[in-house]
Amino acid sequence: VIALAAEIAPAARRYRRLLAMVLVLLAAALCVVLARRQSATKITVSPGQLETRIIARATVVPASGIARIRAPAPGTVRAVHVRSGDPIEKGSALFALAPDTADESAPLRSVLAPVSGTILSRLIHPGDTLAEPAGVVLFEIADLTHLEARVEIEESSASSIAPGQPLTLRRRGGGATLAERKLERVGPTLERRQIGSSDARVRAEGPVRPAWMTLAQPGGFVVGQEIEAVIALSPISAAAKLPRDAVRIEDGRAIVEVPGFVFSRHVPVSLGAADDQSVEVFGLEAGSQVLVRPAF
Amino acid sequence: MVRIAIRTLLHSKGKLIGAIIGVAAAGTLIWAQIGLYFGFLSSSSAFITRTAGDVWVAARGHEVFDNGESLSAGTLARVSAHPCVARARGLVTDYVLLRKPGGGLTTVQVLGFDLSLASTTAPLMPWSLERGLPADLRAPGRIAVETLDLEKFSLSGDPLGAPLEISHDIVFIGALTRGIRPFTLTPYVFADLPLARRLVGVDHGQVTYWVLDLHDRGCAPSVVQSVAGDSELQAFESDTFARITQEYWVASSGIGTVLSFGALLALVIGMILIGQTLSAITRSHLRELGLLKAAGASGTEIVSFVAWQAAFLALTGSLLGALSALCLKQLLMGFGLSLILSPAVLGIGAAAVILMCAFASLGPIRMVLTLDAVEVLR
Repeated sequence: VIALAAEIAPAARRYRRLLAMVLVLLAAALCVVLARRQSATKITVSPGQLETRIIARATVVPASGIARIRAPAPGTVRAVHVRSGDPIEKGSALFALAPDTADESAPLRSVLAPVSGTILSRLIHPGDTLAEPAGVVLFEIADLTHLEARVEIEESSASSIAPGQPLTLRRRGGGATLAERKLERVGPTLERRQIGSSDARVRAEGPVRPAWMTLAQPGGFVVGQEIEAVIALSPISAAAKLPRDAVRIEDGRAIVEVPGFVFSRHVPVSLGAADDQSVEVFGLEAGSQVLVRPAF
Repeated sequence: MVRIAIRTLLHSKGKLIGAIIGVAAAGTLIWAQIGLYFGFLSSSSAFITRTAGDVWVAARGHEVFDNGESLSAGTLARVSAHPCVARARGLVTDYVLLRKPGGGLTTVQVLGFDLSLASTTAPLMPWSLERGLPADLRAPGRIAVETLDLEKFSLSGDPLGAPLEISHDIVFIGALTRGIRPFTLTPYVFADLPLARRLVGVDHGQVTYWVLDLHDRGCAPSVVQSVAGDSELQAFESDTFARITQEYWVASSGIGTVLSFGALLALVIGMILIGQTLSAITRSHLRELGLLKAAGASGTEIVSFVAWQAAFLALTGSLLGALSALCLKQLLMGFGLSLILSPAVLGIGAAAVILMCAFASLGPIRMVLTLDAVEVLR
């Protein structure tokens, strides 16, 4: 190597221009490195409070429930007096039924609405034959003037909720805030999930704990609308917290960049609770500094 | 002789630059082929190695990680029965269809894991994030997808919070991974275990794999043996399972052969190029070499003329080749391809380049050894 270097030295003198270009390139690279170093912001690890929360699926339901009307007896539907969306008073006729008897002169039977509200769904038409009166739902009626949100909290967080906890309703996927409320009632037991229960894949999920709160009307809510509920839990005290941007996930571990005398170094940390802005970290003491780099 | 050899080489600038570029190009190609091979090996079994379990339990007859079959919830008790098993982590994976926002379907691979373990002793999953934290995937319907796949999903604007339809279910992007792409380039969709089960359509408690963490890694063979007694299950040590998956995707698919052939081709072309350059330089200095021989220079001294030139080309070409391979690595990362340039890969590549230069110098060495000084000087 020494012999080679001795041979190359005279040639290097001849290639002064090329070497100068290489040096300029190296200097430029150094400038980029230094500029990047300068662009990093130093953040001090500090103790503080973290706004912990539970994010759960929710749906809009009528506060007084849904009345499901079934046929009182087997027969043939002669006339239907209401359609989906019609308002209806308690005692108004829903449909006329011809009983399934040999006597053709038997009078038509009028089936009445058991509650006032709005027809949510009508599943019969004139001429339909009702063979199994007990099983088939013919009408759904609900009072839409009083709506509430039913929130389904996953089993793992079921014990963390209680009436009175503040809650924000927003569109699914972390969209716009729709309303801010407090939890009014909490289900005493775990139940089968109802949100998405029409989907056969519901078997894939465990039980949930339901909770409810009233929705102001008119509030732009529609029965059946799926939303997200963010339930605020008691803030927790973190011995060390950092802005979320200061933590990077690499190679299956969380790391932070700690400034050094010349070069920075990566320090692995463990993560605790997180809110929208900050994350609790273990493995760093309050007062130590970390670097936050702007995203490129 | 080193002085004469190098000066002669430096004197023929055109030939020298051509030869160095040849060695560098051949070196780059060799490193790229070897690096890509190791990159493919690594990415084909990345999920196994990143999960960092000791033993993997799958359905009997299982061949490869990506083609798993569902295990019932009851198998948990069976796989945990061995006293050495400290914990069994459930994993769900399957291929499902994703409907792009602008229309059209694409296949994605759902990977579900227990996020409640992520902050304790298990490695964080997904293991590399561009935006977001693993805990963000615990919100309902949240998934993590690869940043490089956003274009494939026809997503524009800020992808965080964007809805995607997977298996007729609407899910939302909660985090973005960085550089996590499988060997097949089918996009990964990371999700919490319950959501993953819903997306792939398996029941509560069902998994595709149980990943066992043992109290003592030394008892892995015993755990594998005990699971072997179960008619429905089979177990692999992690390294074995990773190797089987690598062989399935890389070796059996023929990609290893293609890459090896590419590296061999680079070696041959480089060898021809260097051989031609050295031969041309040697031929143009036959008179001087003949004079040296007539003056009493030994065969070794004459051979060292060619050997030093070959060594110079190997050294400079290797350095340039290694540098351009490193640049290529950065370039390929942008396309989601993994080019591994570990010390071992660099060593193998350097050895190949040295070997290439050594073989290329055989012709010129033979030429100087058979040199008849009288004939040349006549």
